[in-house]
Amino acid sequence: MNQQNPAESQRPRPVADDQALVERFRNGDPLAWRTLYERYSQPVFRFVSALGVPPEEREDAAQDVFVAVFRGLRQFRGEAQLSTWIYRIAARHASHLGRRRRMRSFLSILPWHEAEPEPQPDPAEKASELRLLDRLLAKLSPKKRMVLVLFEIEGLGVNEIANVMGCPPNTVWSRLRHARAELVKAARRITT
Amino acid sequence: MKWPTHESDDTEKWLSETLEAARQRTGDEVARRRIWARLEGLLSDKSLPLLRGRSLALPALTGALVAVGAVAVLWLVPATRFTHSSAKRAAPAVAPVAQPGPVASKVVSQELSAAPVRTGRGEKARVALVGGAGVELDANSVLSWDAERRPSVERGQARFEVPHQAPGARFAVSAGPYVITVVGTKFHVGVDDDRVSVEVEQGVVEVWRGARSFRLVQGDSWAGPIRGLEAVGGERRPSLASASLRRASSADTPVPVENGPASVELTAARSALKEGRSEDALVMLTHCAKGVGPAAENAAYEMGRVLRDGLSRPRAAVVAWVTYRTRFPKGLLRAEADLSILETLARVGDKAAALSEAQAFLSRYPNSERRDEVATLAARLRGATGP
Repeated sequence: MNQQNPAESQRPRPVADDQALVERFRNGDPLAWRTLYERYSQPVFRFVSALGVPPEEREDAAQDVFVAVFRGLRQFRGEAQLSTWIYRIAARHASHLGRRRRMRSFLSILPWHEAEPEPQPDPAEKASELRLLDRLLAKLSPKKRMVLVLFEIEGLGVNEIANVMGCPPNTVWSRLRHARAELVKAARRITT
Repeated sequence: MKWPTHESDDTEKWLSETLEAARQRTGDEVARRRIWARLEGLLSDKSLPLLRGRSLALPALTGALVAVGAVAVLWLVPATRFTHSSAKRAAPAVAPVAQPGPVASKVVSQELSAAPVRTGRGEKARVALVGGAGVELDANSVLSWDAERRPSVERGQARFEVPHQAPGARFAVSAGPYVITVVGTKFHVGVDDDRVSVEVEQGVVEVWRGARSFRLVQGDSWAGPIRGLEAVGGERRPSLASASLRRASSADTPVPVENGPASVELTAARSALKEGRSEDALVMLTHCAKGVGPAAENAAYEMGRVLRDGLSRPRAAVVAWVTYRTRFPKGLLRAEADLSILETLARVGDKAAALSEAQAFLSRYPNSERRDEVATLAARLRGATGP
């Protein structure tokens, strides 16, 4: 089976190699850390947004991810791509926040518990289509959603997604197929 | 395999377009800059665990850190408030970071450590500053922080490397009686017994003294007298006009510009903006932009931001920024204006124009720190606009 994501070839390759930047970071070059942040802050922001972290929590979420990256960078062995490793950290953190949100939502139905406020739309995102897409993605299971987001939005290949999620590539394909079908089905229900 | 496959189907076509929009979701640039600023503060404390946004431990820990930080800053500030003349007498609050031999490297947070950095004979030092900037100190140099927490070259030679600042923000360095402000560039500052010199390696810098300023572009170098520095209390100061300016690339000598009234109007416009009075701010900025000098240039740029972010008129904002760059083709905020136009065109869905802007940016600023970001966007736009 072809494991190449067509969008992957369109992902621009970094001008300075990630590994070289990590080396510079380890050698105490503060500008290397800044470059890494500039390089990955946008993908991390987009990724946590697509995984359903609400606008008011995205800043904290992205910050947490970069604190973890900073802490772990000296131990990063380079066995996986740096991007894979950062996506893995971001995915775990977004999952953690999702579980916490679901727990809060569950608690909010208890009579003595104050109801959770509705998430406010991000004023920077005026497109209602994106908000609708977020609603549709929310109907997928967390694992299917993550596969779909990593493949269709982040443009990762199947092997890289398997590394991020710690599962075999065939499982990624299977989840992707189901996620696509469910997404189209949900979209049809809304648009027709 | 490309998906969705049946683009003749309305639902799949909608999905395809919306997924493309999601790929271009750039997030809030200001938020990313804010995170960077917070990260710098947080990461200077190596013992801090991974944060959990609203965990119970975080507010307590943050409160404790803030309290400790406040005490430390209060304790350190008096030690750093010295002028050039008193610097010679002031003992460093902590040991110098410079080490003999090859370039010593140490991260010094501008917020937390206010001790001067000194290099001796044959020594060099590299210091990281707030905002991602870096400075390499040559031998026999002193870098300290002035009363406004700006890095201050007290003596010797320093090479600054400043990444692009958040729109509207500026990075400033003081040297003797002068203040050098930049948006993002590489430049050298030298201070000896009787003069301050500035040499621009890349980008544009402004040299200020009081309300007067002038601008240096790539390849320019300038030197001005330092005499009168110890007389901050009111004795004669050398005027900028007496500074000698050597232009390496151009024959038109920049003229010092008075910024007084225009600066006041710009400040008033910014206050109006903070209070949510975008219409008022736009009127003031429009008036201010009709003037001359750096304040007029800032106003011309900020009109675009007010139109886009305050009044939700992105097309009018693009027109304002295009006007800005026509009027100030070598302006200090030129790169910011280019990026703002690109970002806004992409946001309103004018993919062809955005792609053209992205390509122009990449060719105009091949070494920009935003290059990766723009290249990513260009690749996506290229995919979206077809061959």
